[in-house]
Amino acid sequence: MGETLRNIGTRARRVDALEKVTGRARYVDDLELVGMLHLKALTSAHAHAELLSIDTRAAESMPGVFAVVTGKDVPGENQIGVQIADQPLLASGKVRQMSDRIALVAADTAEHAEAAVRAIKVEYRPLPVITHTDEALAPGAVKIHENGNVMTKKQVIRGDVEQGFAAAAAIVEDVYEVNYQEHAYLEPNGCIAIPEPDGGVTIHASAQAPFYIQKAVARVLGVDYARVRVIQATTGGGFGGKEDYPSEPSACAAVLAMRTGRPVKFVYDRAQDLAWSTKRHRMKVTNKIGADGEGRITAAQVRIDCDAGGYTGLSAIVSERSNSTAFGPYRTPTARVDTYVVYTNNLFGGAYRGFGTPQTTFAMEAQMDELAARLGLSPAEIRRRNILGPGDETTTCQKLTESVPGIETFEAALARSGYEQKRREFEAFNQTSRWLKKGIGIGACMYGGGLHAGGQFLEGSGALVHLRPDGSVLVSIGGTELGQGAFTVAAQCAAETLGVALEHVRVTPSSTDFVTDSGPTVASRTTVMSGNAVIDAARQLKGRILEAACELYGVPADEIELREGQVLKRDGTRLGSLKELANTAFAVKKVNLSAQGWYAPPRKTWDNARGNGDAYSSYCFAMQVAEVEVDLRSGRTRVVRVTAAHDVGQVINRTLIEGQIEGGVVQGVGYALMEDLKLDQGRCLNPSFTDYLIPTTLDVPEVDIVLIEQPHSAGPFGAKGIGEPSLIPAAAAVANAVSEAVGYRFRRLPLTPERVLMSLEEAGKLR
Amino acid sequence: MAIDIVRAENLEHALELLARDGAQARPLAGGTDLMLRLRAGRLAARTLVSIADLSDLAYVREQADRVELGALTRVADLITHPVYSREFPAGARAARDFASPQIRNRGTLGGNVGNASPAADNVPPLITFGATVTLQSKRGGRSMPIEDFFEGPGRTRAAPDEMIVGFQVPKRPGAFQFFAKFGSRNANVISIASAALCLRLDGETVREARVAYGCCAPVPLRARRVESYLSGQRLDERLIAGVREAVLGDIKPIDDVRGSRRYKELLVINATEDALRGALESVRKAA
Ligand SMILES: Cc1cc2nc3c(=O)[nH]c(=O)nc-3n(C[C@H](O)[C@H](O)[C@H](O)COP(=O)(O)OP(=O)(O)OC[C@H]3O[C@@H](n4cnc5c(N)ncnc54)[C@H](O)[C@@H]3O)c2cc1C
Repeated sequence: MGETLRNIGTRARRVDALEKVTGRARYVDDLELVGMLHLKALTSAHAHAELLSIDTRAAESMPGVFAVVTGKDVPGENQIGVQIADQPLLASGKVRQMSDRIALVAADTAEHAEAAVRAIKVEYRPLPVITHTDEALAPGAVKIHENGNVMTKKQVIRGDVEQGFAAAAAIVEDVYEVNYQEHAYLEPNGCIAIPEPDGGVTIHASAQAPFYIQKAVARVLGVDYARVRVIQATTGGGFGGKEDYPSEPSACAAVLAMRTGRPVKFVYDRAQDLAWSTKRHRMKVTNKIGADGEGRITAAQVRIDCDAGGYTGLSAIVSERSNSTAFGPYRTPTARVDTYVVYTNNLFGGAYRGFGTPQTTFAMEAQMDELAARLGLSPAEIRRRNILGPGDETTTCQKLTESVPGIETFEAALARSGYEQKRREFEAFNQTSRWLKKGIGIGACMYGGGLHAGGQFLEGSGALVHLRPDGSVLVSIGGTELGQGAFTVAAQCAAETLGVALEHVRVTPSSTDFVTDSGPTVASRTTVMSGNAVIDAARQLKGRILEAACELYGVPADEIELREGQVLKRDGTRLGSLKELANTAFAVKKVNLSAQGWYAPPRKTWDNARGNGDAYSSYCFAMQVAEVEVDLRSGRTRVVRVTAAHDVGQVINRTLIEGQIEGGVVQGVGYALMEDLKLDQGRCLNPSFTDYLIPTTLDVPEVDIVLIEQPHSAGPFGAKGIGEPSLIPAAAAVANAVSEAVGYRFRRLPLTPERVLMSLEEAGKLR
Repeated sequence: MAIDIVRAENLEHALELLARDGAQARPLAGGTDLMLRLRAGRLAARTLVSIADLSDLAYVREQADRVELGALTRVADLITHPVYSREFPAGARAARDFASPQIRNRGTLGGNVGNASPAADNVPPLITFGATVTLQSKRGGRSMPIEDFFEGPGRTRAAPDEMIVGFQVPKRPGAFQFFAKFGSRNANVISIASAALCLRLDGETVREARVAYGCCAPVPLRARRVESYLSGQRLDERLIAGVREAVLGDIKPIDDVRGSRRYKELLVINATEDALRGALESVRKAA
């Protein structure tokens, strides 16, 4: 660049701020169309059963009912599985989880649809319900799918772990288990399907991945991708929960829209959303690590049992991230990972911010503390001795080269939080305090930005940028705006590259009609992928108009600069306005003022059998320190402060980055302390915000943020992703702090007051 | 099934409507409980008598020996009203720990009591103050101790045509008051359990003890064993150590999604011990 950045590293106001805070933004449920019908679904009464019969006759003749459909009515393929074709859109033959749809009703009102759903009669033959991966894997367990209960098995093999353990001075081995986490986005799932005269369909959906919906709808309708237009409606949060899942309601609505010839709206209420949509996976993590007398890890071994629920969904990909990065930011000279993705009849596991790593991070970070205690080292010191640096190899034998500030980020978190001193202070405090105990804990993570090598067929993103004859700019990206600020970042990248004032850039709602399949908005990839694609398009446009400017002003193109809507000479002399230039370029010179941008990272190599290779294009580090107070009378934990040091490459928008980090920390605090879905025979017992508790503003700790900027050449202006790293270490840090406060190692999440108090009571630690 | 919502213009009108529709009618105050049940299809009533306009029933009045609270007094008012928070700090504490600002601004004391949840946070302190509830119908008025008002979850001793109009709360000058609510987060949480104590002390001797627990029985519970265990006794570590048995004798919590029986037992035992320690500390400080 060489030039000063005007729109990067700023606190630019979000492009969608006003419409959202004033309530003008229109979400799916705000949209009403003439003749629109309402869809309601009948879901299974059992978590595991044979489906004997479905009788929809009574429902069909109910008032206001336009159509009732079951699996046999799906015009294309009755299949929704994104990765493996194991999930029918509408149950056929068998049900495998409570959220399996038996039938769909479209009626003139939601009430009529609901009444008709209740009139559908279904006969089941219940089968034994598998409620834990251990049960699913036990010999003789009932098979959920014909090919058994192990959906897939993955591994990483690095050197000889047995030799590594033989060289260890201390070894710790333990089992950790974590419960589900619900995304709890503000807006439940919702979509509208509109049948088009040409035989196609338009979908407006609250979603993260319009291209997934396009493929799913095309599949169930049996039509071309080109006839399925998916437009992302204003989306009230996703956090991964709207990666693959919205394909399900969208496909349902599409089937009924085609059947009735009318627009069909399918909006979930909170209880449905909580019970039906995907969750962060339950996992059982058996972690064994060994270190030499100096505390340097010699061997690391883990077995991961991932509870997928009844179908594959994204579980195989989610668990690939657990598999490839199970040991966090540490050097593992020898390592072995065995990951089993297992079917059960529990809730449907899926994508959730962090994608399989908060679970393994919780286990690994606890084990690091245990190992440190065994060796008489402080938790900080053992980490310091093992954190990966430039030139080191990851567990998957990938050499880290560019922008690897692991230790810098770590030391920044320690220094800023005053870790060592506080640890001593708290220890002294706990000596005399009977009920209130203080603790400080570390959570560390190294996150691979973008999609895993195994998913790189999806890794590429497009953008479409138009320069209008008045000098304003219209941007479309293949990524989506979920509240994280992607559209603002896209606008900043366009403004910076084209020298346009930010307020003259508009970002359109994402639509599959505008750009090429850009993959999903996940994996903390959108700033990098869509940002680079926007820059690519904007640079093409810039080249074309500079050429026009060169002719217009008689100044060589490389002497001309575009800045905030002005055309300037390098020395600052004003030549004209971008408006005038754009208009002349368009009207007189007939320059094409639209450009398609594209970005895809270099191909990665991956050996599936050994789990070796370049798992991710680049990595970023996230180091958090949590300070807690635990009340031994109630078991309640208060998180007082979280110091969050993050390696972000280059800040694009400071306010947005801080928002991401604060939000991620809070979700991590919820995961650590309170979010606790309860199940009975596969049925969710607390599908409401009355009993599934997430943090309120009064539960939010002070979040002290430190940003480490070491630009990465592949990022837009050097930026790396931040979406997920902000959450991943938080629960581990909090859990370590709680364990340290009360002198008892917790190996399950969440640490609800009840779990803390009852565990201590059972361990005889209370009286 | 259609539901009529009728706005009562004044108390007579409300009582008229309740008398007319009997078991089919329910008073509607802030609606923070009722509307949820209505939406969930768990409401038997056919007529909702909105009493929200009866502003005469929203008051906190100080008398020489007691404080009178109107049924429509909002939970938020219990926090801000100087008389209530001065005379009944534990009551004000319960109001502060209640829900969120939005719900406190709508939810009423009459509704909290009328809803008859074992988790109603304002009730245990009121039991310990010896509050009475005043009912009114076209047939006349009556009152009873608040702890006798509840029959079970969602069931009260009010007849279908009767409405709560207010509460009489005897002042407890100099008494040691305590309230603690337990939930998994700091706001907007239904109690896992709650505990309230009001102790009249004479030096280190407990002259009178009133104790109540939330979520420990089908109704907000007055803990009479704990009260008699404490009354007339010297407040010391020995007394505190022995309270556990009395608590377990009084309470019958159940296992549910919010917590196990064992956990609830531990919570109220710990809270009771904590309250007693606090009381001991306060008399020692005063001495
Ligand atoms: C998000 C949320 C959080 C909440 N948190 C708490 C909490 O922390 N603690 C807690 O205790 N409660 C809580 N609640 C429950 C509720 O807010 C309280 O019980 C509130 O006091 C009810 O008052 P209301 O005026 O809204 O009652 P309404 O909903 O209007 O009525 C409740 C019931 O009482 C009856 N009723 C109302 N007024 C009278 C009257 N004058 N005479 C006879 N019967 C009457 C109604 O017929 C109905 O059966 C919460 C509710 C919500 C939605």
